Amino acid sequence: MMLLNTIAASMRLARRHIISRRRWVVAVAIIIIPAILAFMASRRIPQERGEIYTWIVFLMIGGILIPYLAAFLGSSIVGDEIEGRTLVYLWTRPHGRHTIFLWEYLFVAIWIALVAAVAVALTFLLLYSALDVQGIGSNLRMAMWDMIALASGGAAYAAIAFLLSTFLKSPLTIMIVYIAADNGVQFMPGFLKLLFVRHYQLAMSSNPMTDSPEGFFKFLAENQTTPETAAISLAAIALTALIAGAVMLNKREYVKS
Amino acid sequence: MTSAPQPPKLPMEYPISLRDVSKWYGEVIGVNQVTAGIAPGITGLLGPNGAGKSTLLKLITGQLRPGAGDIRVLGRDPWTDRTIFREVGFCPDSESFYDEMSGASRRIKGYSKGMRQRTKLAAALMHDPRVIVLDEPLNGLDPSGRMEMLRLFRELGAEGKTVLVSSHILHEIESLTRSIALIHHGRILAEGHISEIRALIENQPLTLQIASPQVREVGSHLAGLDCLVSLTYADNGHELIARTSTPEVIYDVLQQAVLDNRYTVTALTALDDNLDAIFSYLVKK
Repeated sequence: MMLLNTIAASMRLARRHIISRRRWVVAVAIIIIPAILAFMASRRIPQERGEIYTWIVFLMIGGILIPYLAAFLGSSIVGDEIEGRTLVYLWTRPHGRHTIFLWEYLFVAIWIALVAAVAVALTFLLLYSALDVQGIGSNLRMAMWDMIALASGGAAYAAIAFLLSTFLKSPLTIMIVYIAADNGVQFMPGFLKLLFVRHYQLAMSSNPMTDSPEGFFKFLAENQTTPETAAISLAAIALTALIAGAVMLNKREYVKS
Repeated sequence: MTSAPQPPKLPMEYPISLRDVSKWYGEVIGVNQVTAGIAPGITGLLGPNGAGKSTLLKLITGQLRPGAGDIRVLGRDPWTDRTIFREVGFCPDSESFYDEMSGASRRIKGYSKGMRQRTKLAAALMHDPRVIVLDEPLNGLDPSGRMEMLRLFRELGAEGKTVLVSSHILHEIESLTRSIALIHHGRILAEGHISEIRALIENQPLTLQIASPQVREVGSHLAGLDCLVSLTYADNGHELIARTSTPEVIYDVLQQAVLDNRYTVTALTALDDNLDAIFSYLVKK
């Protein structure tokens, strides 16, 4: 009964992050704008569907929109409570200090995954709907992998933002820098890129451009991380961040005198 | 072999007990070596603004961790054992709410201060807790709401619940309970029955303002009294300020003089019968 109450309270709080203050408008924009851009581009250069798909799904949705959405939502799980001074209502209830926040994270991660999946699906449909059934079918598996990659990456970004918000006043600033660096670091040699979510996200995705690498995308083709390793790594990143966040929540004082 | 002297045991029979509890914020001390036991019934925590009342209540409700000392609520540590909140209700002093939340009829965001206060109280009491901690619960309530709440608190106390109420208003606490603790600069200055606290401060010199059209006659009459510490005339020509350690003697003398038609007294005001004066006196003592 206690657990059900905690989950219900977490759902209500997560809904606050997702829907209130017109935040749902952002999610709708993330779904619609890339799809419209992809559709318009495909009308002009229909023979370049694969390239358009890569640019829209990997660079726009996966490289910018979903990471920033995840960073914003992940950091607001704890940040909104501190800023709004409502933490007192959560911390004078019979559950662990971290419990309600971890459940909240779960619902936020599901929401990010949903937005990522719908955004990719809509872009895919608008790009490939002109093809025959066989053409759609052969590319569908690619889109499915990309949905999983973007959703997993989004969950990892949200977990990192969640962790930062447990001990920093401006976690979003750090996340903006991290995400901006995330894309650039992938084209650098060495092990630095292994520290970034983007590396594993790209390793998990289909990325048709790396099947026959050209130009700067050839660096991505040298990504030796297997999709399985990437999936485990993303899960490890998210779990580590969440556990560290939970420890911070239990150790630190957040209420002022 | 001799064993080292044992520290006094916590009074575990108290629902709330604190032993040598201190809380520092950098170099600023919030609560300073507080030892106290809060028994079932109503206890008033009285202190001026900034005395450390809220810090103490946040320590008791596990929102802050003591820098030193030991706190037990229902025999458990409120910082580590979250299960106590099945039996503890807390009404904070802050005005913060979830904007989207709604009460019985409309969004809390649109509530008056009094309604918000009632909502916070309802949230603190809805799970029928054994220990109720209320931080300035009467702030913002109108007189009828205040009466209603005082009645509710008395009922809760009479039911055997442990109710700890903080306030910076003496008469508010006096109207609620006889059991009080005085806190100032993070220290518990006095704790016990209100009569004991009163006894502590009974010799405090009190400043009286006396208004009379025959102020010179009043002054010369009072000047002969041994209990008078000082006497000064106000510039307006119809008031005088008398300081005395036994104000009741002055009251009797003035009352008799008025009855004997020696002079008229139009106003008699105790200028420093307030918490700050009491606390300043206790600190000096």
